[in-house]
Amino acid sequence: MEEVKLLGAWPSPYCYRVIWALRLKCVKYEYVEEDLSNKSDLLLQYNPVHKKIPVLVHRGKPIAETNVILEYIEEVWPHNPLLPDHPYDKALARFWTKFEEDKSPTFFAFFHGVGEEQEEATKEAKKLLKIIEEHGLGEKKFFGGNKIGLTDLAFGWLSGWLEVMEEAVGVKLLEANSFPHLKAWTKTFKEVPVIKENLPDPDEMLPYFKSLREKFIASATS
Amino acid sequence: MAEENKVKLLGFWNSPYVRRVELALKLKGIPYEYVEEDLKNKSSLLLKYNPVYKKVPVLVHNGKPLAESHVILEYIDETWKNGPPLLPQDPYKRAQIRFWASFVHQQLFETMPLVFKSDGEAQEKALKEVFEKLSVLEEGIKNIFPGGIQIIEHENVGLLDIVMISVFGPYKVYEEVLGLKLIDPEKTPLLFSWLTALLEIPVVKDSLPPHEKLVGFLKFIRQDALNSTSA
Repeated sequence: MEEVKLLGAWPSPYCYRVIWALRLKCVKYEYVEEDLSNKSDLLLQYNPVHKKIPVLVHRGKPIAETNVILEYIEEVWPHNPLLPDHPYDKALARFWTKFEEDKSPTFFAFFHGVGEEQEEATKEAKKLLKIIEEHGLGEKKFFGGNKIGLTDLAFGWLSGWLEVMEEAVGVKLLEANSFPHLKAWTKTFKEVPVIKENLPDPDEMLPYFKSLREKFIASATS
Repeated sequence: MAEENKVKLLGFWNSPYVRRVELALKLKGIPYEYVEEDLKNKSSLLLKYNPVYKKVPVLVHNGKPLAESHVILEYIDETWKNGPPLLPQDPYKRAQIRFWASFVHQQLFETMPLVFKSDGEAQEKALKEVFEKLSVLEEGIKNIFPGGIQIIEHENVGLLDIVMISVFGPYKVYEEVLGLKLIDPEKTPLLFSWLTALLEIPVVKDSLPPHEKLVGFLKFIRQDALNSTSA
């Protein structure tokens, strides 16, 4: 039995963050795919409070909430660090991770919304991308500086998921001429070997996101 | 104070987020300069130091600004190692503290405003949700306080205690304004004894906003919200 178990669900970007962190640190783990429409007893036992994935189980003890899991991984397996050493730089990394978490409802509204709601969300989302581009990333190669870190993982969904979502919605959000640094970062991020080898297949994601989008449209217009 | 270790805190008297940071600084014995912000007329200092959110608290240490209370608390803990630690050493225990701090903040603190700003059925629904979540918290923290709680020493106050106090420290004010029991010693005995023990500590008690001032403020908020929904 593996000492480390990860309960996840495809294609959740939250799960992928944990996968990336474990793989960047070469930590072996057993992956358990959850069916979120039929949650297992294991999931309900390990995350009774939220009943959500991801859940990391280490030596039989469960940890839930993606950011809590990532800080745990960083502390238990400190090699190949994903947070800067200096407390101030570490704090900045956490600030941007928190920003991503706080603002995710806007991006969700971009994908979920219809008509005017969607237009509003698109406008808001572009403002957020501008803030991320100018204040968060700037001219750095990665959010963390010269190497990949937890903040890059937090924004990883912009790299692997957003394009598919844009296609499903029919609206472009992250355009290269408006957000040149962020666009460049999405390519750099995807080229990191661990990331490249651990991204959901866009050809599989497109029908999945299209079908979700159809459900949102149907419920908004019914 | 010496320039090398200058700490400034931009805050607002009624912000629970600011209270968290102030309490952490006081528990660690860190001297700081406090600057009260007028949130209706934000200073250029605030806008310069927190261009992303334009909110308080902002901690400025040696001229470098930091925003977001959770981020600031962990920074304080990592930078000033001489005072009592805000997080335990063990990674699993740290994860538990962070998990429950996030729960109190996201699940409880963010639901409370609706309780104040509504009445009738809407308020009943919001209260039901708050009570359910308080029950979950009661259950959840049994692992953190396996022997129950009698006395908490100043040096054992940590991140979760700080977040809890910032949200529920003024619970008697809330009970007065709402006219009901929120932290019931019979329904949630552990939460009740936890808050009681924390409020015995002078620095914690002093961190609360003045009782009457907060009562007045919340009554005003409530009246204002109810008037605008019935208008």
